[in-house]
Amino acid sequence: MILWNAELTKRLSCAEKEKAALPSLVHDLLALSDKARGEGIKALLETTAGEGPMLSYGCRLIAEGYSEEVLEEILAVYLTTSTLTGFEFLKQCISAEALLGIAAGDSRDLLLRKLAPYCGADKATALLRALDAAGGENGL
Amino acid sequence: MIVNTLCGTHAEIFRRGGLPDKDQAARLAGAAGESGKPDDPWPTVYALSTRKIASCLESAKRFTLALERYRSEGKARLGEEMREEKRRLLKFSYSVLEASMPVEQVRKAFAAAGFIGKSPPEEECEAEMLIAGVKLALKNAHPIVAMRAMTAYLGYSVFDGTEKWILERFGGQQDKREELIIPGDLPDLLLGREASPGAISQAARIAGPQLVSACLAGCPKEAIDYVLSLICTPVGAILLEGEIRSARNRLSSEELSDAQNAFLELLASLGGDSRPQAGEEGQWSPEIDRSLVVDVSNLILELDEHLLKTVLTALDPRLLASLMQAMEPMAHDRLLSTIAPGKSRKVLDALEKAVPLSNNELTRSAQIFAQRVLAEIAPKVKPFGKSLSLPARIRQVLSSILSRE
Repeated sequence: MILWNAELTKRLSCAEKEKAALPSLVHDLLALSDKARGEGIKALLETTAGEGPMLSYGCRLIAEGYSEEVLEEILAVYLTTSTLTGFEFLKQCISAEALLGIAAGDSRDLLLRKLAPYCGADKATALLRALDAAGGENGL
Repeated sequence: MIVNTLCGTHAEIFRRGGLPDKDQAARLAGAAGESGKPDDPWPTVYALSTRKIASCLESAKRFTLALERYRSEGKARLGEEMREEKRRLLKFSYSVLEASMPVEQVRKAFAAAGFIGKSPPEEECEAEMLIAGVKLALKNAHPIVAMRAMTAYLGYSVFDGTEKWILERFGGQQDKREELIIPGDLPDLLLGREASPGAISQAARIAGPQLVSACLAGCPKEAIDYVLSLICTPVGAILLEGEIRSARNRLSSEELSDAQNAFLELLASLGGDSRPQAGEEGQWSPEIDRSLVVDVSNLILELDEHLLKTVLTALDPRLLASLMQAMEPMAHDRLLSTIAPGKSRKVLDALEKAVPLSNNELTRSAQIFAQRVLAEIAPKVKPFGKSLSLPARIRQVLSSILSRE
């Protein structure tokens, strides 16, 4: 079931022009998940060390080995209590979603299907079509 | 989806008047006396002053330490913490924990006591933090987990300091590690570096901490250290080692062995284990006579400890290793724990070098063992015509093993 909260909806809203940058963010996050699958979570710690706080500290939280439920709660608190709104907030939510997928060991295909909807219906459909056209797992 | 969880946290934290805007946050910071650090990588809506952050952090540490003592010493200890605590919020948190309140009632209890819903936002941060800690404590979470969840309310600026404190406070417990070895393919695979680090790390994330700790609980220290170095930070290693100790106490050898097999299967499905899988190892597994395995295992498990020790001590480690090929994991455990540690290591070494034995060879080893048991039980001078005084179950098992051809 998808829940709805007016405050959150308002906080996530941003201009269509800004949303155009999201597919590229999704690609970057998929590349991170590839690295985690190929080289392990420790390799990801080095890669994300210079990134923003959500990705760098989030990877450290994954490597602390919390259950999915606890990790989701912790990331949700960081996001909720942050001062971010609009496009920046949306970007960090997508990053948190990717972190949860990496922590759960999601395949590239599954992770894309979780991240694409944040880009809006049109762009999500385009991303998923590209994945199907490229033959699933190895696509994009 | 994180969005669902965010809906819940937004509804709880911003139940009155919505999210503070940037101007409001700045006003809160001013009201708090001193503004937070200007280079804060993750400013929070609570806009806490440096002093208030330090105070909240101190509350989180005190709660975490009280939780640790409660877990190790029981409820009486929590009562003492409650009496000694001067801060109302912490005192109340301990009382909720002591009452073993249902998790879904915790927030209501804090609201009814006036700790949330009435206070200014910068004070509610500490209450929210403790609500999170109490909820996790009621779910029996490790104090480190509670600490991380509570300090999330203070933003990422305290992340490194919290890690340092956790390592100082909980790091020393790593030395108390004991070893339990469940013979199987996983320790060999790990020690032989036969799986890629990426695959091990990926399998560990898919498996989750419970399965990982259960499968590592029966592995040698070297294998555990190797996996920890691949998948954990030092804080993660403390948590996982605690889970491993708990798995050794909670689970039987059979369950630990099952966990190892499940992890191996997961690893193989990820392409990380190229070795033959169970059932693919030529003729070993299918050929083993299951009834022989049951008989030998029953004999090991049911013999009197003194008698078993006498018989096993007299037998050659190589014979014991071959006997172990016809035994269930629970019987392995009893055999290895009955003999001296030095001999146990020799048996495991011999087992590692052993080739899979045929059914006839296994039967022969079992019969030598059964004969030694009989020889120990039989009195040196046996009155003619009298049968040995043996428990019926052991008599039946011995007879079943010795009558095989």
